[in-house]
Amino acid sequence: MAEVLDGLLTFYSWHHALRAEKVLREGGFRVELIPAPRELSSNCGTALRLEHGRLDEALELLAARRVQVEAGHRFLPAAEAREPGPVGAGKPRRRWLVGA
Amino acid sequence: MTRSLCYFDNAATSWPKPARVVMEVTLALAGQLGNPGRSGHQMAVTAGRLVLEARETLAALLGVADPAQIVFTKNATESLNLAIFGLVRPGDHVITSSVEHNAVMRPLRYLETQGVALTVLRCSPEGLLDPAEVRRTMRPDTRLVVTAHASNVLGTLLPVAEIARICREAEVPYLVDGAQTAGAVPIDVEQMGVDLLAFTGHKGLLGPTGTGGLYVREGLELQPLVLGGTGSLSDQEIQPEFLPDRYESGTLNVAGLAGLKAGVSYLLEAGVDKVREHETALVRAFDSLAVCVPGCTIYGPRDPSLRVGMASFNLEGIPPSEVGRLLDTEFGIMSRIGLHCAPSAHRTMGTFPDGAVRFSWGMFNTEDEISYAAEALGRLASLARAGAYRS
Repeated sequence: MAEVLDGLLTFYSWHHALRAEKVLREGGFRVELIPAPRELSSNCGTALRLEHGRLDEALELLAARRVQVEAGHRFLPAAEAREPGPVGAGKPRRRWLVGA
Repeated sequence: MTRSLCYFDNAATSWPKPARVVMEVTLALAGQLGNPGRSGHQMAVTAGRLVLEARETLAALLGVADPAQIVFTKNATESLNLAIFGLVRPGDHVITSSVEHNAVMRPLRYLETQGVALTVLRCSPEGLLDPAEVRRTMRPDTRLVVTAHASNVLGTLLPVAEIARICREAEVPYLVDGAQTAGAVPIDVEQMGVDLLAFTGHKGLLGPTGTGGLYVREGLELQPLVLGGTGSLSDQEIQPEFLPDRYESGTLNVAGLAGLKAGVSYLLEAGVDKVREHETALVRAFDSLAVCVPGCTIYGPRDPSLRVGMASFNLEGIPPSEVGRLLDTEFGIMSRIGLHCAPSAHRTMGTFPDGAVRFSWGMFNTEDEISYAAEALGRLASLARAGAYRS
């Protein structure tokens, strides 16, 4: 089964985002740089997607290499995110779980 | 004797640059590069990766565990200003040496007018400094100790590891001006125990002008010299506190840093210890030939291991400016004459205000060039002794 990149890391600085990409890729992680979702971070404009199941492992490696991470998040598939809310009530919404 | 082209001014800027430096600068300008960290698109990311690699390469060269502790500036002067103005406030005391370049001396003399107390430790005429002097002059209000790693006039290496130990004991930050040593002398900042190391990209590191940086020890906080956009914390009007953003406002010199990365990678492959060995051999070769030139006075310690790859000298009977001119026009030898932006160093060695002639070598100079230059000096000395240059 293909890995699903349902985890996301946000950073304070683009330096750390790009360094995290490199460190994790060298460590055998599948990662993808994306523009940071605005609702998650106003810090650095770049975020890194990875498998949520390997988030702790990734954080450990990054800490060992002194790469600063702002927060880790989990991407909730559309079906699970269907919920009533003040915005777009009743519509299926894909959303990131902050700090998951 | 055949006329050749000898570039003996590597302490001003290194020449030639490795071919890969030229290529990387060109590729950075011609390639698909955006503004690093300012956008999330692939061209911005490509530029960001390049800057990251430049930082990582430098970290590897200087023994820095976390590349984020290296911040980029446009030269060693800016780095020194960032460190000095970032730490020192009116009422503080600063210790420095008498062989400093004006990049250190002018900011400190300015701060003196703003209520900073300054101790300038007198080096010997050879540029040697007794590190115990640092301990002796340390005060409870000492906020910073700053010295060159090597004098840009005498080439003399200062006892930075010993000074660093004294500073660490006293818990006073130690700033080292590595303008003449980065890339020319093996440096491991963490092993040396320095808190701040200023370097330039265009000398020993073989990169383009307009590049440089400052290593800042983890946990040491400076007031930024320049504030502004960093690509981070865009919703806030206050400067970020994290590195490297805190000290890197405004768009970086990406093409320059691409060249610097190439220069440093060239050095990592060549080995700085090999460069050092080569330059020490050149110093030894020059000294052994120049002592035979009548009326030639070489300044600095006689032991080549105490000097970086340079020699300052004068020829009796010819002013240094005339020696420099003739070396250039008659022999194709590029030297630097005068006071080398370091009046205090010239006072220390006793050559103020007339100055001296400086030869400074790099990894691409050869012993053949040294022999040729010594021969040229011999000719000038004979003409001088014949009275050709009496004013």
